[in-house]
Amino acid sequence: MKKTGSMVCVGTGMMLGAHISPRSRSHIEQADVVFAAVSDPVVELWLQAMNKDVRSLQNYYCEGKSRHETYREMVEAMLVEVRLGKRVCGAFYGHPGVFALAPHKVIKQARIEGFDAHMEPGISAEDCLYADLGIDPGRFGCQHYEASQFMFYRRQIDPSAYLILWQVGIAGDRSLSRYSTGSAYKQLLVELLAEHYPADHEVIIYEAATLPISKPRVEKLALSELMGTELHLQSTMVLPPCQAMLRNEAMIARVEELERVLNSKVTVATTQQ
Amino acid sequence: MSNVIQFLESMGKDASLSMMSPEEYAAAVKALSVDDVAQHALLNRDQNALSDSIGAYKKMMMILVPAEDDDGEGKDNDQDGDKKQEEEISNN
Repeated sequence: MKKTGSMVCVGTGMMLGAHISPRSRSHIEQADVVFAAVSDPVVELWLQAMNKDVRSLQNYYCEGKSRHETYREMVEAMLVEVRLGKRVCGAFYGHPGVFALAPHKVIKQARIEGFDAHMEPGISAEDCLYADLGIDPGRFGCQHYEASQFMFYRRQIDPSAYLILWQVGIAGDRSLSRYSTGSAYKQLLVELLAEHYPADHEVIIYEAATLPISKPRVEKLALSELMGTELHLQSTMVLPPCQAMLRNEAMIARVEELERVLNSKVTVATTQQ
Repeated sequence: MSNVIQFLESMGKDASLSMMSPEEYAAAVKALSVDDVAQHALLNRDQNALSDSIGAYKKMMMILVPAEDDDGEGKDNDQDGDKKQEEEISNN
């Protein structure tokens, strides 16, 4: 038998008022308690107007404290209320399941404990990026990585596709406790990227607008200029392709052969009728 | 809901308000019943000053994902990390 408490994680979108879905909004309005993790202080006040019990998850962050601990505390804070039988809503900026650990964890754990739990999607920073920069990820393909993870692991980079690095403002932070990393870390990232891209390759620093009175940040610069560029927690780096896509002639020949065989079978079948 | 938040919400969800000319925007802000500091911040489209004027947090942390998930058991060594990823891939 399902227990009475429930957990839903919703996305508020990136821009106040513009992106939230009707269903996500009603989850926020109808919940017994709402936990908020949003990107802008004004957005948090906006949520407080939708429900009388909105609790900020900002209090769990602390510079110098590992974010592993922060995320565990967030999950536990939400589960405590679920176990009390409450309808709990986690309101996360953007999409609650994209580059966000706690929403996935709290849903998984709530289900293990026998509670109803699900996620409602939202408009993510990635969605805004495509709109603001005029990029279609289907045109050349698109690789996405968390910037530090990109540095710590060997990845197969395809320079004929877009490469998008998230959380580039804290690239290289192994402690998970900093709010920024310095130019020496950026230098390492540039050196890693220089294995695939020329130093003068134009990259874009992007930050989505969070209020309707603001504009997105779209700053174009050479890869080698990254060290001198101010990066924030919300900064994302976009590397457009630096090579043309290479045709896979062997596979195309195999597809042609397959089509030739299939067509000849159709011809034989038609002739026999 | 405060007038400032209400104004921002309207701008966010109403296409015509989001496309206001600078003159229309200034007139709309001046017509709002808000204090001078908030009005000034809105006119200058100054996000930080606006946050200050309505008592919002000064600085928000918005990073929601670590480079590596410790899965609640302290830091993985590389082999454990590889094993967990293999399990996750086979479960999907």
